[in-house]
Formats: sequence, structure tokens, C-alpha cells
Amino acid sequence: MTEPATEPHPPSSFDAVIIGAGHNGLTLAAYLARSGLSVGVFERRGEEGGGLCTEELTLPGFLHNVHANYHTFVGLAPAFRHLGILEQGVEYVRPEVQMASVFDDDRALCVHTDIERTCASIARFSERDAETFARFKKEARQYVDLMLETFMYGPPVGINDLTKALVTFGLEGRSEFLEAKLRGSTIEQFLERHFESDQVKAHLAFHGALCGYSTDQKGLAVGYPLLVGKIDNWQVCLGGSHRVAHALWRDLVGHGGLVFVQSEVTRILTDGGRAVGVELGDGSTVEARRLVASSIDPEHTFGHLLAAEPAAEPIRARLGEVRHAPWSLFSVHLALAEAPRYEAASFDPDVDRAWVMNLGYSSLGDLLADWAAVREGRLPDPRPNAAVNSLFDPFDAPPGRFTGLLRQIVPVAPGGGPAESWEAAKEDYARRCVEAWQAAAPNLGDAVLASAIDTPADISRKLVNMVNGDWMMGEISLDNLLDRRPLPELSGYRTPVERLYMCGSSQHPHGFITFAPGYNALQVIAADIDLEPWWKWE
Amino acid sequence: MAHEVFSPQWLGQWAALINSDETLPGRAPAGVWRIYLRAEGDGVSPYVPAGETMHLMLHLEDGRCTRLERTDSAPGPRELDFRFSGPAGVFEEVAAGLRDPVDAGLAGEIKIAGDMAFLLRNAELVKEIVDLYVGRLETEWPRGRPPYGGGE
Repeated sequence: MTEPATEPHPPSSFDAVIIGAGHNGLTLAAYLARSGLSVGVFERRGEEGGGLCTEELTLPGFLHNVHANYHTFVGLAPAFRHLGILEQGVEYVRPEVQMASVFDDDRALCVHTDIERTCASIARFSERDAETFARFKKEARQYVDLMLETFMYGPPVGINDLTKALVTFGLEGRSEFLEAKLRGSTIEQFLERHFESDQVKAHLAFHGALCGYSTDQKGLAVGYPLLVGKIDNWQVCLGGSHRVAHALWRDLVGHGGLVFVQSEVTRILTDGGRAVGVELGDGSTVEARRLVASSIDPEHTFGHLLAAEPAAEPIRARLGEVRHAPWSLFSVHLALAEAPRYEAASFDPDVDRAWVMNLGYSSLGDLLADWAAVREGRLPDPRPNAAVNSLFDPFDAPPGRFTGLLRQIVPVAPGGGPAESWEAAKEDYARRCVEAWQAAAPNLGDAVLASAIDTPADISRKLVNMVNGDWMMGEISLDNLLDRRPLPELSGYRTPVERLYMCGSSQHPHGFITFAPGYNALQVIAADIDLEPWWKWE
Repeated sequence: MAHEVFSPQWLGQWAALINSDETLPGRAPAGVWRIYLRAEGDGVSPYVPAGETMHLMLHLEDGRCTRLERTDSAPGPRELDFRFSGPAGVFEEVAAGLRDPVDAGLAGEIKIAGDMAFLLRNAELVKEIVDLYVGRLETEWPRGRPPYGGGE
């Protein structure tokens, strides 16, 4: 793969200047470049991609996705159609056994791409739940396109408008699962209402947690049907997630755009309350003739880059209200000599072919206990999720070897202390996470060749826009979603500083590799600067 | 008086029904909504041959219908605000009152594109206009009435 060419000396002027080369910044940049604008993207780090970051963390030849590993919007996000991502060297595999839970009694539940096989697996725990899930999945799959269009790929809808529309269109009478009262319900309550088996409920809640939806957060049930609509669309990016970033970069430069790495923006230049350019770390300046878009967090954008701008003061004054999740992810990346063989395979052999594994949540109570622990700053006993990409990706490890990823929900810092407190705790906690995996798959006892730890503090050190290890760049809660994210005044992608836009995952809808914040900011920018919306109806 | 589905007279009847509702202008948002209906010939509809497309434009200006007609081609990307697209047979079943339009939308048979936030904010109005299309138009089906199998 050819590495992105970097331009050592940026031109002094672009139509559009984008701050941050994460996938949303690159997405917006690529659309603007295809629209005929000259676009310059400026990135602090040494490569483009942000969370689409793949590195040889453990041993040479072992490719680990440091952040984004699970791609669930493949083929659903408009960027796949419009930017030709799959024609730019990106290849995905959709594992037939998408995910599995191994429970403490060594039974297992598998989600397949084949709904009938999923239901057969669920039926081993509850026939009634299998029938319910079949109806739920069928209904959710039907309206997933409409929900994506409504919830994800467009400016945010207010929750009051949404629930009023649900009533107006009489959806409650048509749907077994969509109800206006979901806005007041937790995922736990939703699952308790519809399912009976502890294990089935645990697995479905685990799936929500992987998507950043905590089980105990009031109101998140409203988004749960959308999650289930794409529960079987988890895909592995062959050769590592960074390839998606490279594809976006390739599309951008193919249309005349430029990416400048190791080019930190230190100030947004303004004139009369309007964004007119940026200043870089070396003191040079770049003019933005039509717009500046920030794909980084509001704290950095308004607190640092616009520290002296009077028009930004109303936002600066409220930055303390930007909500970040009180929990984060603790990751252990492993180089393995062999793939896991689970004890639970004697119950269901398909677990050994599953991609995303739940190692230990056997009931909603297990999840609720961990959510309570992390909110109190306590480290839970590890019940990590695990993935072995090498089962599906021949490129991410040497022949006969495997990469492994363990992730555990944790507090931002153990004991509620400073982020640095991870330094004392991380080695022991990583060992316990690996032991939890080995308990489920004893053959891994001698299979670990090397490991690398990534704590919430490491997340923020690497990607500064993930404030306090907040990998979703803003709490996933009903009062921090839709038209309230990250603040009501910023939720529409415009800012009080004229010609400055927000386009990163701090905006609606949220983090994950959705391409949505960049795409949604594009709609607003196109209206403001009168761009031909060639993408809109394709 | 009944008119053939999708004929100019039938469309005129629909426009007149919209404009006969005197409450609409007071409740509709100011400005123009440009709605494009795209019905694809699906081999089922006798009114839109398989492989062909029927394009229909509806303009609502301050709650009044100012344009409702078939066009030869799709509008340009700047010439519409919403698009409803799907198989012609489904649109005809909706017009005949045999298929619930909300169900068709939820099932993904009729796909909706545009500013969904705007659509949801004006849900009552949208439902009212759709209901006019569904229930109150007198329609002739000379080439067969859905569900297809024989003409009137």
C-alpha cells in the first residue's frame, strides 16, 4: 500500500480548511473536494485516520486495530456509495458467526448472519425468546433504512418531535417494539419487557454495550431497535481498520484535496466574528476562503483554538456542560500462537468460529453491576469482550499466528483518581483480563506471545479529542444525543463563529465509524455556501 | 367524478382536495415544499410499464398546492426537498386504499429521503396530505385495479 504523500509546505490558501484527519474530517473533505472546492486537512498526528488506527503493537507482522475494530455501517453509510470506499482497496468480511456469548455454565449463544440459525441458538435458552427475536429482527430490519435516514444521516431530530411523530403516524399500534415510552426506558427495561431468558437478555444487552449504549441509561431504549436492525452487520476490515482511512485519503487527493500530517492547528483565525483561516504550530497561517470545519472536540476547538475570539464566548462559557461518559474501555492487544478453543464449544461448536465474544456476562444483573461499578470509579472483575480478527483476516498476523483483542468497560480512572493512576494498575488488570479469556478458552494459557495495553489515559494521549478516554466523544445518553449534542447551540453543526462548522463525533449522532457527523455537516455547509448537492438523492 | 389514476385530471382532483382544506395554510410552515414521487414500473402495475419510471412533482407553498403534475424526468438535485420512491404497484395499492402508506414506509417499500427532522416536525400535516391521497380520491382503474387481476 502506498503511504499518503504529505505536503511539506501547505499552500497558503484553500476554499475549505478541515481541522483533524479522522474519518469524519476526511469524509467531509472528500465530499467538498468532489464538489470542486480546494480542501486542506490539517492533522496533529503523523498519519490520517484518527480512530482508524492500525499498528504493530505487539510483534512485527501482528496488526492491531488500536481503536476502531468493529465496522457496523458497511454498506449502510452513504459514504460507501458516494465516495467509492470499497473501490479504493478496502475489503470487508462479514463473519458468518457474528458474535457469541459464553456463559458461566459453559453454555453459549451465537448470533449468525443467518437469522434462522440465530433463532435456533436462542431457542436453546428460550423458545419464546427465539420467536420474539425473530419478530423483532424482522421488524427492525424493515425499518432500518428509514431509521438510519431519520436518526443518523441528517441533521438531528428533536426527541419531542420524534415521539410526537410516532404518535401521529400511529406507530405504536403498528409495532410490537416501537413505543413513545421508550424515551423513558432503559435497555434493561426494554429487554425485561420483551424477553424471558437471563442469557438472551445478557447477550442483547452486551451487544448494546459494544455499541456504547449502557444498559442502565434511561432513554437509550429508543435507539435500541436500530441497533438490532444491524446486529448482523459487524464486519472485519481486512488488513486493518486504517485501510478505510487510506481509502478516504485516496479519494480526497484524487479530487485535488491535500492532507498535512504533523501539522497541528494551534489557532482558528477570525475576522469580525468570521473564521478566515488557521494558524499552525510552526507559526504559519493558512487562509480559508469559504469555511473552516473542526472535527475535534468542542473543548479544544472553543477553549483553545478560539480562546480569544469574542464570538466564541457563549460556547466557551458552557464547555463545562459538555458531557463525557463516566466510563471508558481498557484494551489488551495480544499476539497469539493459536486461536481460542472454548469450553463452551462442547455446547455449541460455532463459538470457535465467532468473531466478537462476550466472556462472562450471563445476566442483566452482571452488566448492571459493572455499570454501577464503573460509575463509582471501581474496577469491575474483568468480563471482557474478545475478538480474533485473524480468524477472518489472512493479512493481520503471520501465517499460523493470530491477533487477539480484549476490551473491558472500566471507569475513566481506577478509584476515580487521575488518569495517571492507570500506570500502577494496568499490568495487573491486563493479566486478569487475559485470565478471564483463558478461563473460557484454556488453550490460550500458553498461547500468548506478546501483549500491549491501551488504557483510557492512553486513548486520550493518542487522540486528544477523546477527552477523558471518551471513545464516543460525548456520553451516549438521551440528554446528550440528537439536538442536544454536544450542546444545543452546536447541535446543528453551525457555530456562533460564522463560517466555522463542527463535523466530528462530538456531534450528532455519535462516535463509531459512521461517517455521519462529517456527512451531516456537509448538508449544512452545502446549504450555506450554495453547493450543488450531487450526493443527496443518489 | 372519478378519473384514471395518475392522469392529469386525477392529479387535479388531488390538488383541489388539498386546497379545499382551509386550515392547511394556517398550519403549514411558510415557504415551498417540493415533493418528488418516483414510481418504478415493477411488472405489476399496468399504469407504469416495467422498466419505466413515473415522475410526479408536488409543490406546497404556504400550505397551498401550487403544482401537481407528472414530469418527463427526475428533478435536479436543487429542485426537490423530499423524495418518496418505490414500486408503482405499491403506490397504486396505497391510492386504492389497500395498503397503509405508513406501513409501506416502515417496511421500506416506499423509501423516504429528505430533511427528516422537518418531516417529523410537521408530522400531522404530512399525514393529512397522505390521507387525502389514500382515502378520498375517486379513481378509475381502466387497466386493472389493485390487487390486479381484472378491470372495473
